[in-house]
Parts: sequence; structure tokens; C-alpha cells
Amino acid sequence: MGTYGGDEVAALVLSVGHTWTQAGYAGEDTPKSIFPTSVGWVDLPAEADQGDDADNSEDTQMQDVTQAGGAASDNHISKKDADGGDVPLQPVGAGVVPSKKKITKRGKYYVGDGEISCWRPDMEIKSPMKDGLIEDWDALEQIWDHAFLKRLRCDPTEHPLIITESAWNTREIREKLTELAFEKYNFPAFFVAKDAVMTAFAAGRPHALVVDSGGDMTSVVPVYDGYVLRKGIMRQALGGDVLSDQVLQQFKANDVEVTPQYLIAKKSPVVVGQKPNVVLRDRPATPSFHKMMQMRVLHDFKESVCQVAESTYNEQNINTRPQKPFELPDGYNFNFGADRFKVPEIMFNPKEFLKNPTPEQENFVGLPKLIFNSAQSCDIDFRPTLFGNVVLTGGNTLFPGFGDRLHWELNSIPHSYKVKLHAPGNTVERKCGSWLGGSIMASLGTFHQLWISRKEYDETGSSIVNKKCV
Amino acid sequence: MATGNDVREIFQLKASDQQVRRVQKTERKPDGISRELYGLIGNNVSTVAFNNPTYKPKLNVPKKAVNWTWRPFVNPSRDDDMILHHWEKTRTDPNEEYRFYKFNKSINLIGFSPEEYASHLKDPDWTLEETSYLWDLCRRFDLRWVVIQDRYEWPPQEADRMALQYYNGNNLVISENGGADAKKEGEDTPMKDVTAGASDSGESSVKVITTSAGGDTSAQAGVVTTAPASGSMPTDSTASTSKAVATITPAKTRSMEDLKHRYYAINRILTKIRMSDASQAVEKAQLLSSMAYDKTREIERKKNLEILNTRTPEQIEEEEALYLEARRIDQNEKKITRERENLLRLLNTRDIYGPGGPTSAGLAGQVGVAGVGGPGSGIIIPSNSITIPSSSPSASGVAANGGNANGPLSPSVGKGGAAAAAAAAAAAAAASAGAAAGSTPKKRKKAPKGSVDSAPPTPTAPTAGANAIKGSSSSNHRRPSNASDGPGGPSTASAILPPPVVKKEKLTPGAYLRSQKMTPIVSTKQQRVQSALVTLGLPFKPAMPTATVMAKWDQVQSNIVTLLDIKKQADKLESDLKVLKMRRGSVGGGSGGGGSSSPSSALATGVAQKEEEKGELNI
Repeated sequence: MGTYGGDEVAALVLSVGHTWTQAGYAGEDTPKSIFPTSVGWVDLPAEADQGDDADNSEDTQMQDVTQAGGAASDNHISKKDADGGDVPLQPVGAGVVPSKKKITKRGKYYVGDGEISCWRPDMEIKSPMKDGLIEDWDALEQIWDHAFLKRLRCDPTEHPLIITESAWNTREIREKLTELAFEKYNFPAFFVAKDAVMTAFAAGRPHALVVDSGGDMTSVVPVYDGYVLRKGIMRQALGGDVLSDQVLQQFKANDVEVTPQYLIAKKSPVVVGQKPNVVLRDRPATPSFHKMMQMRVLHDFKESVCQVAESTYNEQNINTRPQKPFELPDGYNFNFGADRFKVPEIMFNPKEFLKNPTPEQENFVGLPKLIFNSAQSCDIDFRPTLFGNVVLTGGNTLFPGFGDRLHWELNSIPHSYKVKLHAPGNTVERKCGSWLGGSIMASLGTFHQLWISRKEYDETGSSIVNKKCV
Repeated sequence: MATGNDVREIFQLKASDQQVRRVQKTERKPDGISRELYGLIGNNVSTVAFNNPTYKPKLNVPKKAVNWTWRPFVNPSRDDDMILHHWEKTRTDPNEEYRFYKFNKSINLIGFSPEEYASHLKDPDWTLEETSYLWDLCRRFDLRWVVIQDRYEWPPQEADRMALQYYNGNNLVISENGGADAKKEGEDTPMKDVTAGASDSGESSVKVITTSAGGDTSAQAGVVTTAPASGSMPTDSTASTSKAVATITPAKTRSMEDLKHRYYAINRILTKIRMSDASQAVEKAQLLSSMAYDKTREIERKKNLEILNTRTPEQIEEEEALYLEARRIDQNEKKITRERENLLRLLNTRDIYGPGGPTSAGLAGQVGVAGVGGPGSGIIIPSNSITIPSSSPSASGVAANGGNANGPLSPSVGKGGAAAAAAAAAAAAAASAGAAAGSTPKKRKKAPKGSVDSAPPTPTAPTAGANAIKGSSSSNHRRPSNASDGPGGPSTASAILPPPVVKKEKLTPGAYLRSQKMTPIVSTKQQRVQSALVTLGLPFKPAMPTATVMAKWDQVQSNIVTLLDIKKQADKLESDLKVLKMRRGSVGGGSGGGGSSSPSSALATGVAQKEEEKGELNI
């Protein structure tokens, strides 16, 4: 036991990403629970207030939601009523300024894969994360609740908690997270770790250039001996969602409607490329729900069809590759040739392959360039180490051939460094890199001196997080 | 149902022995098997093999299982006494020190007091506050310079400063007061990350307002913590305004070299001050040398590294090509030297065939020119036909090339060998060459090679020749030598004429073909020799191979070979000449003094002579 330096204290590890939330116990190699970060929200009519309060079930939660003009700084932990049963409530910290204007809204939250993918007429889907930062704190609380109480089914007062955050997280958000952990959930100890550092940790590297391509964003973060180098952080909002959107546009351009599963009542097989023969259900849904369901189909498309060209994109070469068939939920099916290579190519050459870019998207650069820029902004003596430890993580890097291509591209940029790419072949490891790192770190004996304890929080307040977690 | 037995009984017959079989047949059906199943498998041997499953044997460990307990523990590495729980073997002592405590190490940083700073450590570019900020960072990040440089920002953001002070606790000498205050009041101090709030700037401005409206404590905290920065940053009475100032003033960052320079400089000074004891001199010197830091050199190094790393593939290719070229030249130099030596040896052997006519004179001149091409390189032409009257036409060349300390100058051409003069010259040359050889004893070894067939009377002469050849191959050839000895000396002893050498006839044992006596020609040259023969109107083989004819034939052939070699040499020299001319053209007329111009003029004469020769042969 002493040889590997581990010392389990039954810590919880939570990693809330843009697309997926991972929760589990430290020391395990896979999160116990992975569910979408998106939550469903159904507005309830105001007059139904009293009645609903009574029959509040366990699955759906009733909330008094504080809405303060969208300013994240003003709305802090919302008060829970009704179903806060098993979680003892703490008075809100003295340092938090109560907001003045308050619009009370009644509604139900739905969290979890099964809940949100179930059709409900007025359910809006929203994600608490934007740009890697937490925007919607109520939704985040729902996610925490769901993770700790519904999925892990544990008593938060018994376990220390470690969570991951993006490298560019702001002080306010970290402080609020600390407050949330201590005030609402009463964790005995808490820690916030940078996801890039954790990914490097999971890859077993103290120094690394962590390339994280997720749903909404691709970021490159240099890590030196467990510290993020802030000046080298490069990121752009080019991620899996943009690619899915491009696929959707492609389908639309070919006059193919992507109909999600929830709308389909009956279908019969059709010949390749023919119009689908389908009977639709009458299920009016919110645009956000429809979009999410469409994205799932497109996600499926990307997973099963798309591929990255191993070296440069060469139309002639690509055309000789075998085509792959794909069938949409409504029965329409087609064999995809060059198109399946064009989609992930956006990651490497957005200028050429991104169709109808928004003004913001026009400034995107290819991933190799992004990596190179990031390394260039670090000290020259450190650059060889960075190039020798490029760690690839995030679901968007799982296209077949992605790693090979990136390696090829990095070598074709003129420099005299040796490039070594670390891309775990295991899908779970690639998707849950930061969770895994947190899991390893929180089970180390030497880590336990770093926790923010309840006592420290009581003495110093939530600003302690900026002092202890760098 | 009546059976056979009943019938027998009735008829009182003896019972048959079938009975035994019957008993066998009516074996009782075992319990637990249905009749149908028994009917199927019955007495028959079952086709299915019934094997009792063999389970993995139970783990047989003699030891009893160890008991583990879920136990609280306190980590002494922590300031507070936070209690965490973990599983531990029950028999271990619960009060044992935490196992990982020993890994909690921190670096030892040499601190300094404000007094020390005032008396020794002042630097116009740094203030006390900034220096102590640097020290805080060094301690916080354990001298990880990459991180320190990344986080360095002066004046620091309030939150950063407080975080540092919190981390460093009270062991910091300078900002003790500020740190304590921050600790006390830090609880309610708002953390405003103005630069980080780039995406939501509206939010941060809101925040400032709420702060100033909020409470007195926070405002005070702001003032207190910014106070140490007053040296470089104006402080105001309210937190919000000072914050505003902070956002306007651009944060100063420093390069890693700056930071390291400062750090090591201070460390050196402090070491010098504190280790004044003479007994620690050795240790002190060691410490000081370990703290040496040359900022300009580091900057230079990084700049060069940058250049090195930003080469384009073309540049890298070009560099490699140049490197290869340089190596080739290097190797060729040796080859050329070797060729020259060979050539000279060749000339030696050639001379056994009797007097050279104008051709050989030309040859000699040519070779001489080759020697003149190099500095300090007199090449001695051991040829009978050449004498050296150091006449006025050649004097200029000799003078220009003069001062050849290493050896006698090569000859200009004189026709008709005057033996006596030659002998005298040879003697003189021997004298000077002897001196030269004495000065470079190493080269003596080489000498015999060059003079295999030379006769003993003037043994030093070939040595000098070899010396001279060596000199010509020295790296700085083609540059006029500095005429240190003056022109007079060498010109007197300018040629060595070894006596004619008789080629020993090889005695082949046993029977042999007469054609074996023909001097073989190197196969690579054969083609060209033959073409030369064609131009001369001679057949490849003599029609009547008598001894005299063959002797002549041999001579002709070897002459041709020599000629070809010399032609090659001449071509080389021509190209050299071209290069020299070009160089002279680029240098301009200004430097065209006697020293630099004459080698080329001498070369020119050599080439001219060579061309004459070419004309004769039409090669």
C-alpha cells in the first residue's frame, strides 16, 4: 500500500463538462455515473403553485428560482424549499449580497439521460455551462443533486469532494462552487482542480500540453509540473457541436430532413437515397428539445461514419476509400464517401471546410496551429518538453485517425522538436481524462494536505479556494 | 399375465434357467428418475459422460485474514486538524504519525530583512515591494521559474497578493503586516478579477458598485492590502477607485531572465554578507558558483535557440548541403595533396628516360606554378633539365612569393642544364632545406616517400621538397605569405637538381611474356592514353615490338600519362585562377599590391605555358 502512495479517504470526484457530467468515487478507474450535463426545464403555470407543492415527487423537483437579469454574479445559491429533506440547509453566507429584484418562477427540472430524452410538450433543454464556465447555477445545483443523491446515493457529509474546472475559470465561480459545497451540501473537505492538470495527471505526466476537444470548445493548455501556464492557454469555440451543426447543414443542403426518433411512429425500409417512408407522431416540442434530439442523431452519425484523413486532405485519395452507409431514424439511408472525411477536417482546416461561418467562426484556426501557438507562448527551454508530451483528450478527438493526423500535422510545421502524442486508446479514458486524473489524485496520501477543510472555510470564507487551489 | 414359468409350474416341469436372465432384466428403477427417462437410459451405458464438476480448490492460506478498520486520522502536514477517514489494519497503532507526512517538504529560501535590503540589495529597477513579491512567488511555486514567470504580474491583483500572503503565512519578513491584515479581513474581501472578467465586463462593474455600497470592512480591506503597493501604484481612499486605477495601469511583466537575474544576484549578495567567516570560504565559493547567473548570456542563448528552432525546411536543407560541401572540400584537400605528391613522384620517375625538351621545361614551370599557388610553398622539381638562373624576369615572382621560410622557391625555367651550377644550387638548397627540415622534424618522415629513387648525395634536398609540398598542402594556401625573410635569401638557392636516377629492372622469376615488361597503365587512364595515341597517329600497340621500340613506346606512354596528369592539374589551376581573379575583382584594385597580385600573375604564366603545350598535342 505504501508503495503506490495511495490512501483512500472515500472522496467523491465530480467533473461537470459541457456535454457530460461524470461522478464517482476516487480510486476507481471509471466514473460510477455519466449523464448529460443538459437539464430539462418545464415552466409551470403560476396558479398551479399550491397544488404542485403538495404532490412533489422525488424525481421532479420544485424550485424557487432566483432570476437576476442573467448576471451570474448576483444569483447565488437559491433557497431550496419543499424537497430539501435529506440535505440540511445552511444559512447563506454573510459575504453574499442578497439580490434585490426577484422574479419567482415555478417549474420543474429534469436531470439525467432518461429524463431529458423523454418527450414532454413544454420542456426546454438548457446547459448550465457556457465557454467552460458555469452560467446557470440553478441547473448546476440540480446536476449536483442528481449526481450525489440520485446516482451515487451517498451522504455528502461523509465524503470529501474534488471537482474539476476549466483552466480559465474565474474567481467568482470558484468561490461560488466552494460556497455551494460547504453551505448546501456540507462536504467535510473540498478541492477544485484544473481539468487540464488532471488530464495530464491521468496520462502520468507532470508536464504536458493538454489538447482537449469537447462539445463546445477546443482548448490547448500547457501544464508545468502540475501548474497551468495561464499565458499559454489557447481556446476556440470549435468543438463537436459545430461539427454536428455542419452535418445538419449538409443534410439540409441535400434536402434531407433529420427527424429524431421521438417523432417517428412508423417507418418502412426504402432504397438507398430515396425519400423516407415514414409516419410521424404529432409531438409538439420546444426548439431546444428538438435540437438536442437532432444532435443525438448527428452525434451517432459522426461516431459511426466520420473519419479523419491520415495525412493531408486529398480529394482523389479520399474518393478511393470505401463508403459507409448510414440510416437516419426515419429510414432514409445513404452511402457516405468524401463527406464523411470533410466533417472532421474542419478541426484541422476550418478556413476551407467550415461552411457558412459566423463572423466569430471566421477567425478559427486549425488545431495544429492552435497547439503550436500555445507552445510558442511558453519559455523556449520548456517547449521541447511540451512537444514531447502532447496529451489528447475529449470526445471530439475520437474520430478514427484523429491522432495520426494531428501527429502528422504537428511534424509538418517547421520546428526542430520531437513530437510525441499521448492519446489513450481506451474510449473511456479519452472521454473521462480529467475525471480519471481527479480520481487518482484524490486517492493519493500526499494529496490530503491540500484539501480545503470545513474549518478553513469557516475561518477564511469562500475566497480560500483561490488561495489553496492554484 | 401368464409367463413361461407359470406354464411350467402348471405342468410341473422344472424351472428353466432363463430365470437368472430375467432377474437381471428387472433391475429396479432407482428412485428419483422418471420411468420414461429410465426407459431411455435404463441399463444402457449412457452416452453422456457424467463428470462431477471440479471446483477451483479453496484458497488455503494458513494465515488468518487481517482485520481492517475504518479509522479517522489527522494529517500533521495540515495547519488545521481536519479529520479524514481511511481503512487501516486494525493491529497498527492508531496514534502513529501519518505515513505521508514525511513527503511534505518545502524549499529553503534565503530571506532578507528590509534593513538588509536597504543597505545591500537596492536596485534602481526594483522596489522592496516588488522584490518581496518575487520572493513570495518563488516560495509559492518552489522556484519553478516557468510558473513564476507565468504568474508574475506587478502590481499583483489584490486577490493574488492575498493568496500569496496566505500561503506564505507569517514567515515572510517584509510584508508581515499586510499579510496579517489580509488574513484577518480577507474573509469578506471581495475577489474581483477584473482582467479575468473580460467576457462579462458588465458583471464586474456591477460588482464594484455593490462593494462600495456593501460594507465598510471590505473597503478597508481593499485599502490595507493595496497599501504595500503604494510605492509603485497610487492608492486611493476607496477600494473601488483603487481598483479602477489598477485596471488602467497596465500590469508589468518581467522576463524570466530578469527574475532569475534578480533572484540570483540577491542570493549571491546575501551569501557574501552572511558567510563572512573565513572557515566557510570553500563552502562559500561553492555556493557562489552555484548561484552564478549571466543574464546577457542567457538572453543570447535563448535568442539563438529561437533562431535555431524557427528554421524553415529549406534553410535546414541548405545548411546540411553546406555542411556536406564543407566536408567534401575538407576531404578533397587531402586528396589533392596526395595527387600532387603522386604527380611529383611521377615526374621523378619520368626523368629516367632522359632529357626533357621544351615540354619538360613547360612541365617544370607548370609544377612550379602549382607550388607558387600556395604560400610558403616552393615545390622542388627534381628534373635534370631545369636550372635556376634567378634572372630578372622571374625575380618579381620570386620576390613576391618570397620569404618562403620553409623551402627554396620553385624555379623559373632555364634551358640547358648547367651541371655545375645545378650542383652548387643543390648544395645551397640543401643547406637551407636542412634548416627548414630541422624546424619541422615531423615532416621528415614523409620525405623518403617523395624521394624513393633519389640518390644519396643530396639527401636533404628531397626532404626539403617534401617539406615544400607539405607546405603547399597546409591549410592557408593560396594566400601570399608574409615576406619575413626578405626576397634575397631564397632566390639564391632556388632549385635542387637530384642526379638522374636509373630505374632498376625488375627481374621476374621464371618464364615471362615480353609484354609483361610493358609498363602497365592504370585502367582508368587507359582510354585517354589511347585517344592521345590516336591524335599522335600511333597505333595502340607497336607493330614491331623490338626492345628499342618498346623502350621508346614505354617512354611515350608514360609521357602521355604525365601529360594527362599535368593537364588535369592545369585545369584545376585555371579554375583556381578564375576564383582568384574573381576575388581580386571583388576586393578591388586597392589591395592589388605586389603580394597579392603576383601569385596570380605567376599562375597566369604557368597556365600560358600549359596552353602552349596543349596546343602542341591538341588534347
